Amino acid sequence: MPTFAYVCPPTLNDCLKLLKENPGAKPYAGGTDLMVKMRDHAVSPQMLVDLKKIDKLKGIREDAEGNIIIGALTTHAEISESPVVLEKYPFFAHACRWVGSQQIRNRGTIGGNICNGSPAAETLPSLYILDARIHLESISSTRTLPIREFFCGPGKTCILPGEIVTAVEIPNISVEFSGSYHRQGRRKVVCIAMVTAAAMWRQDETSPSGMRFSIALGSVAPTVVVAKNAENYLNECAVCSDDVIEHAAMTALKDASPISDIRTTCDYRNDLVYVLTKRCLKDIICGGRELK
Amino acid sequence: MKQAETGKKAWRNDAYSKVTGQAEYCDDLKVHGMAHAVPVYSSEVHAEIISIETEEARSFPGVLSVITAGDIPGEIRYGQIYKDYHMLADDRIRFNGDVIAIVVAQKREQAVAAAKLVRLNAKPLPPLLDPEEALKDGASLVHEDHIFEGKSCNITNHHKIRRGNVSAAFKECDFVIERKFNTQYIEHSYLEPESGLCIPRYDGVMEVMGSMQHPFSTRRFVAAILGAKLSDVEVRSVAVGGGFGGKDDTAALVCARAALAAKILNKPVKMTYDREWSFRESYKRHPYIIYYKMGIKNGKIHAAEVKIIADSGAYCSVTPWVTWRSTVQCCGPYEVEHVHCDTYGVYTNNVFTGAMRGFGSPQLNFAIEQLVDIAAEKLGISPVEFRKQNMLRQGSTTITGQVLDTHTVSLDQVFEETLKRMDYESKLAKCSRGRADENSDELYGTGLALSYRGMSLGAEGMDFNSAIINVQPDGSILLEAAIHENGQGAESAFILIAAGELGTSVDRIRYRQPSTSNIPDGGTTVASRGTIMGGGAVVTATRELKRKLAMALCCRLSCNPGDIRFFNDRIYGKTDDVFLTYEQAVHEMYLQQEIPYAFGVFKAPKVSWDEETGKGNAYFTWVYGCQAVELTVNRKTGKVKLLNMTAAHEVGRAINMPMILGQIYGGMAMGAGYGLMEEVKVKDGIIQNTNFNTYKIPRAADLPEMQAIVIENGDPLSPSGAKGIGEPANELMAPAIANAVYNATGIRYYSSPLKITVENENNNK
Ligand SMILES: Cc1cc2nc3c(=O)[nH]c(=O)nc-3n(C[C@H](O)[C@H](O)[C@H](O)COP(=O)(O)OP(=O)(O)OC[C@H]3O[C@@H](n4cnc5c(N)ncnc54)[C@H](O)[C@@H]3O)c2cc1C
Repeated sequence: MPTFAYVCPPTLNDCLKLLKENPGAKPYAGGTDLMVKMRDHAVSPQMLVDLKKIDKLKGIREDAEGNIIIGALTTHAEISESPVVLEKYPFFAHACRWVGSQQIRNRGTIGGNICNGSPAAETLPSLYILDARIHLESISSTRTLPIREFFCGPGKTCILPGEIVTAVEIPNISVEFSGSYHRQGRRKVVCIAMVTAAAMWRQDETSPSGMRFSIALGSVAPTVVVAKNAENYLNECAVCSDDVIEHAAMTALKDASPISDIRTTCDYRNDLVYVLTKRCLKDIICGGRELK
Repeated sequence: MKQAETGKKAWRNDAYSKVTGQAEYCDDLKVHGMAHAVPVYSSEVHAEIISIETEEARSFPGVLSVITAGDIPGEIRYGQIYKDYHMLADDRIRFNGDVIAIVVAQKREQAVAAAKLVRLNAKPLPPLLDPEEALKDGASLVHEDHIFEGKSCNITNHHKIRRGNVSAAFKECDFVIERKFNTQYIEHSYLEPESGLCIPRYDGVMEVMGSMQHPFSTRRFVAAILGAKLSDVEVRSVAVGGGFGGKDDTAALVCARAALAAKILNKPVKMTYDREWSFRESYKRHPYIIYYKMGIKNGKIHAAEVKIIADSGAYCSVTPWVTWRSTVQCCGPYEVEHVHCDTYGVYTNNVFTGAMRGFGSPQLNFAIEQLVDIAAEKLGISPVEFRKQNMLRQGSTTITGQVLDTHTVSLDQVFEETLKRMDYESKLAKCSRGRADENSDELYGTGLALSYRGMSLGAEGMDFNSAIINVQPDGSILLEAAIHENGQGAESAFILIAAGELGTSVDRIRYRQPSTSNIPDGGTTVASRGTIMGGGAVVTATRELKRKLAMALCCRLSCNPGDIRFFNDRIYGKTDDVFLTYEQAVHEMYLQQEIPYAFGVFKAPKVSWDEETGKGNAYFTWVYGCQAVELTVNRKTGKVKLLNMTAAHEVGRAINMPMILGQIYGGMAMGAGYGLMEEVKVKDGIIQNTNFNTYKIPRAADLPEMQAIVIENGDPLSPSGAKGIGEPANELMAPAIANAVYNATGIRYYSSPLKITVENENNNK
């Protein structure tokens, strides 16, 4: 393990100041990604700025409009047990339950999961279909970015030097909707997924079926991808029959460009894209139910 | 037969210290002035060493020494069978885990940092990675000085079985099945990586503590590298975090290198491996290529022709012994009239391979137990029926000509018990065989496998063990045996055996971990031989002690020595009102200048073997086992879900029932990993997955309910009646799973781990 300075400032301002003044500094949340990377010399920050004392980065709240704001330091364990998340977006709570083991879920945070930028990150497909918004703050400014604009490559985000993620916002959905998340790893627990998939429809009178679909796939491209072709196809269908689901799941393959790596092969990833997309669609459509 | 009572309470002498974290493992130990050593590897797989540059590393802060082969005062090369292992590489790099130097520093971090500064100048050579290529005439030589049967080649050994006349027999068969099987490299995955701490003692002895399976083997390696006498090295036991067969050669090498550094610097040196070094350098379970031809005549296995190629990697280790067991057990627990088997161990530039729980049987069972199912299907009969028609029974003759009549042959018992407990035959009828229900993607299957296994070393090597029992002046008892505690509960078993023989409570007996300097070498803790061999010696020692006590105490107890009885934690005369406590008894002995001390030896009964014909009484006794599994396979993702695993094992006599159950559950779990997920991936001679994030072993969540049936038939040739369970429990689950997957999907997989192909409706893309 290389040597580095460790600081644990009491206020957000202090953190942001330190990050601005020290280009070699990195925010430290749960450390479950960072420590592994430092051990492998994949990153070598000169300073770690521990965020753990900043209470306002913690916890889950729902505002007056029904938007859910999840502080960046909220752990996967907290999200998966949160009554409001379980009530409104159970598939997202379940996604967080897939992360590592209980120990990892107790330490790993949503902010870390997002900022680490892995295409296999557990929370991302759900956040994509939920149109989540990322709240960012630096010593001199704050801004909000839609999650779909947040990533620019594997492990690469649009965070500017000196900036941190303060929260993730899930905008309220005022119409009827249904969502689902599936993933597959080599074994049941403590296992990074080979493919992840999330799908959702929202009530929308302008589309022929009365439903507008969104689908996101993980670990099949340098970043999480939106399955545009599959979405478009579904958004044009009048009825969501089994055949339509089948065809949509196949179409999702056009949206994926997986590679072979130590976790699995490109071919098997394609198989999983099809199977997991289909599972998600089956879940949310309940066997071809029409909304209208 | 007795079906043992499986509800007994667990008892372990070391439970408290291990559960509370008080047990000290090697890396927990610290001594004043201790330095730290780390290995230096190169990126090469096969290369000629031109020079090793150490100056830069030497000048790194805190570095005390950088040691290379030239600094070794004793032997550079050592090994259990052939002295082919360069403890530090001198002429060539033969595999990617070869250690070219060790760096010793005040702090471990300094040593790790300095290790990167050691430079190797080497001329890369083309690596020899395919064992079948390596067997060919004219293949490049991994060890130029290695000679086998008068010839320079890569063959480490060739075992044979020549029984009957296979070529004639195949012609008489109704049909012949011919298949090729491949098995993978397996990492033992012991919790604790290798570690050694060596202390040059004031009396000139090098004291060694370490994580190892066999202190005496470590002593030989250490003495060799130092050029010291065996009496000048003392290896002491500390708690060991698992071995599964994997804590022999590499564990000994780590201690030897630490000892070398300690000797050169004349200070204590610790060398602890991290997981990646351990994965990279330590030996693995052999991958096998098995060509199998099985001929069936009138519903019987009439002939078998088997060719086995075991990749030994860069060093021989115990390949000849591992493959010998494969050879002896190459037809599984069945009677076969005509057998022709050729087994080769072969050098390559891959990671070296050696002992692992199962020791040559998991590979063969993976093949045989599938072939038996294939044969049954061809015959149109149930695999249960086919096994019953062919299996070994009381008085049967094995393929090496051994008549099984000295113990109870319990294959039918383990088989029947499993069938009954599982309701196997009705489940077999429900298997999907490739056809799923209308609205489900899950295919259901069940499968089983049978085995018999020779106990202990057999004709592979000298087989004996000893124990010391020493009653103290206050009546407490010290017990020790030349079997090593690797975490399996050997010490507890010995205490239970001694307490049973002496009629004392277990609290009276304390196990003392012997050192190599106070007990004779009793052979390594392998081959499921701990309880049978160590326990045998304990029984002999206790009987000798009882004889001494009886001789000395008969006057005091007013009876003949033969009348004396040992129970209730006391020593009784003829009647129950005449007795001595142990305290009184020892006092009486001391008055008579008699020492209540006994040394016991158990020598394995005679075995035999003829290398040319493969005939002989290979093992003095055998155990029998059956394991079955129920599972589903998702036809779209290939995902296997285990529903239930059941095992029945004959153990001779059960000494510590909860430990037996633990061995069986753990064995099934490890077997499931062998069948479904574990694989050391090697690309161009380099291991790709060197940690547990990429080398996947099953976790609790991946495992189903497990049931274990323990069958007891005390073995007359084992003084304690006990046999063994460590390896039998780990040699059956993979083929049971392969059979179940076939019964679910209708597809046979001939390679482990099973890589299940999926129905690719989308592959028309
Ligand atoms: C054994 C194990 C199993 C795992 N299994 C899974 C799994 O199944 N699924 C999965 O998705 N992940 C898994 N992970 C990865 C990891 O646990 C998660 O990604 C976790 O959410 C990371 O959060 P953290 O708080 O630990 O991040 P850290 O390690 O603290 O940080 C990660 C990165 O994000 C940056 N960062 C953190 N917080 C902020 C912030 N607020 N603003 C700006 N930058 C920030 C850090 O500087 C660092 O670069 C696993 C990890 C381990 C060790």
